[in-house]
Amino acid sequence: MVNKSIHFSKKGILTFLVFLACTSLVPFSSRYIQKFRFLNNERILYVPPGEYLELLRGGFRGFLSDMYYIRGVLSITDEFKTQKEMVWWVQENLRAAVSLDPDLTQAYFFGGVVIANDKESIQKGIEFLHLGLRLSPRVWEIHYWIGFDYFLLRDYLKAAQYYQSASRFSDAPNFLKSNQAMLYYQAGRAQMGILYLEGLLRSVKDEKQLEWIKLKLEWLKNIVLLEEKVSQFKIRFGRSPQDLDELVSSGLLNNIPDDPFGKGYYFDGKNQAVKSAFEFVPKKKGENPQIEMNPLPPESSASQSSRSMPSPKGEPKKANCPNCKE
Amino acid sequence: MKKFFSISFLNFLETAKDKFFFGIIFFFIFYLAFCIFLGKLSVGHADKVLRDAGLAGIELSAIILIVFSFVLNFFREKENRILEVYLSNVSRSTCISGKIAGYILLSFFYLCFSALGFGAALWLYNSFTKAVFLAVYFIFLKTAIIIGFAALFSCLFSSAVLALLCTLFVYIGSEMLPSAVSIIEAYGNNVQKIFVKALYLFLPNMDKIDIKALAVYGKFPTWEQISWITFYCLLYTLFLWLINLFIFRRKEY
Repeated sequence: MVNKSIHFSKKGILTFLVFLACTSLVPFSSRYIQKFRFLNNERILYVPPGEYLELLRGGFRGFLSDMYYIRGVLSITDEFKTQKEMVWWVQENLRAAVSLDPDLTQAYFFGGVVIANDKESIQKGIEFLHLGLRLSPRVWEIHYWIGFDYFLLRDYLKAAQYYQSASRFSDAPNFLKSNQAMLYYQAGRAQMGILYLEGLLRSVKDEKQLEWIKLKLEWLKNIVLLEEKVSQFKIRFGRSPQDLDELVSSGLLNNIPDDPFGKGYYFDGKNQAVKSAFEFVPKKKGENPQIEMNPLPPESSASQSSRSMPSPKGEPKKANCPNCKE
Repeated sequence: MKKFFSISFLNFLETAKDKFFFGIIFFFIFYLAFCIFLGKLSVGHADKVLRDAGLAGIELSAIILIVFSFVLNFFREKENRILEVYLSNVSRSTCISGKIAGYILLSFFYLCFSALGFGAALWLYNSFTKAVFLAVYFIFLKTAIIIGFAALFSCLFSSAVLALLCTLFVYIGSEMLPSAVSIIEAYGNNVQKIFVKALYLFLPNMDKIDIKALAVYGKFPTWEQISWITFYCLLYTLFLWLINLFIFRRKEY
C-alpha cells in the first residue's frame, strides 16, 4: 500500500481563507449598506401615459398591458398612505393596461368595482368604468358594473338605467332584464317598475322568464295598490294608518295581498311608504355604505352573504342581486 | 443542389450542437415556468397572460438565437478560415444560400420545439387555443426575415459586434416604425413624412406580420390575410437573399 499524505500548499490555504473571509463578509457588508440613508426607499408611483406606451409597445402590446394589469391587481393588497392613493395607483396601472389592450375586461372590474368601498372611491370607480365604456362599448359587464356602483351609492334610478343598457346586449344574463323593477321600487318609483315590466312581458318569449316577470309584476302592483289605499285612508281619516291591517279594518281592502318575494308587506310610517319585509339595514354614521339587504325571495335568502359584490364575470352574488333566482 | 443541402445541414447541425442553442432551450424552459407564475398572478386573465407571455418569450428567444448564432458563427468561420474551405468546394452563391437555409431550418426546429412545449403548458392549464400555433408560424416568418438581415450585415461588415448591433436595431426599428410614422404624421414636416413613409415601405412591416394580440384571444386572421402576409414575408426573404448573393459574390474572404 502506498502511504499518501494530503498536502496543502501555502497558496491553497491562503486562497481558501480568503474565500471563507469573503463568504462571511459579503452578507455582513450587504446588511450594513442597507442601513445607509442615501438609498431612497420611497416608492415612485409613476405610470407613463397610455399614448406613450402605445408608441413604445412594438409588437408586444399584449405582454406590456399584462404587466400593468398584474401590477394594478397586485397593488390592491399593497400598503399605501391613504385609501385615495391606493385607488389612484391601481387605476393608473389598469388605465395603462386597458389603453394598450381594451379587451382586458377584468381590468375594468378591478378598477371600477373591487377598489370601490367608500363614496369617493365609488365615484372614481364609475369614472374608470366610463373609460371602459368608451374603449369597449360592446361589453355588457361594464354597463352592469356602473349600475352596481350606482346601486352602492343608492342612486337606484341610475342603477336601473345602466342595468337596462346592460340587459340590451344579447349575451347579457336574463336576471338583468327583470332586476330593474326592484331598483325602481327602491327608488320609490314602483309605477315605473310596473310600466317597465309590462313592456318586458310583451318582448320576452321564454316561459320561465315570463313566469318570473309576472311574479314581479304582481308584487309591484300589490305595492302600488296598497299605497293607493294608504292615500285614501289619509284622506278619509286625516292620518296615516298604524299598519296595513287598519286598511282592512277600515273597509278599504278585503285582505292584504300575499307578498310573492318578501316576508309580507308592511307600512313604513317613518318614510310613509308600503314596503316588502326585506330592506336596507342602515349603517351607523361614518361607516362605509355597505349594503346588507335581503332582496331575495324567501326560499333563496338563506344563501346570502352580507357583502354585496358582483363576481368578475358579471353574475352577481345573490346578496346584491335583487331577485336573481333566475 | 446537393452541395446547397450539405451546407444547410452542416450549418444546422453545427448550430444545433452549439452550447448557445442549448442555453436558449434551457432559458425557454425556465421562461415557461415564469409564464405559468405570471398567469397565477393575474387574477381574471390568467389564460390571456399565459399566452401573451409565452408568445413574447418565444419570439424574443428565437430572435436572439438566430441573430447571435448566425453572426457569431459567420465571423468564427471567417477567422478560423473554415469559410475558405467551404468556398474552395462550393460556389459563393451556394455557400451563402445554404447558410441562410440552414438557419431558417434551425429557427423552424426551435420554434417547433418551443410551440410544442408552450402548447403542452397551455393544455395543462386549460388555456390551449390553436391560434397560438398560427402565431408561432408568423414568428417563424419574422425570424426568416431577420436571418436575411443578419446575413446581410455579416457580409457587409468586418466586425461581428457591428453586424450584431445592426441586425438587432433593424429588428427593433421595424417593430417601432409604426409609432414613428404616427409621431411624424402628427408633428413632422412634409419631408420627414415622406422619408419615414418610404422607410416604412422598405423595412419589414413587423407590426403587420404580428398576430400575437389576436391569437391570445383565440382569434384567427382571415385566409386572405394569412396568405398575403406569407407572400410578403417570402418576397422579403427572397429580396434579402438576392442582396446577400450580390454582396457575398463580391466580397473577399
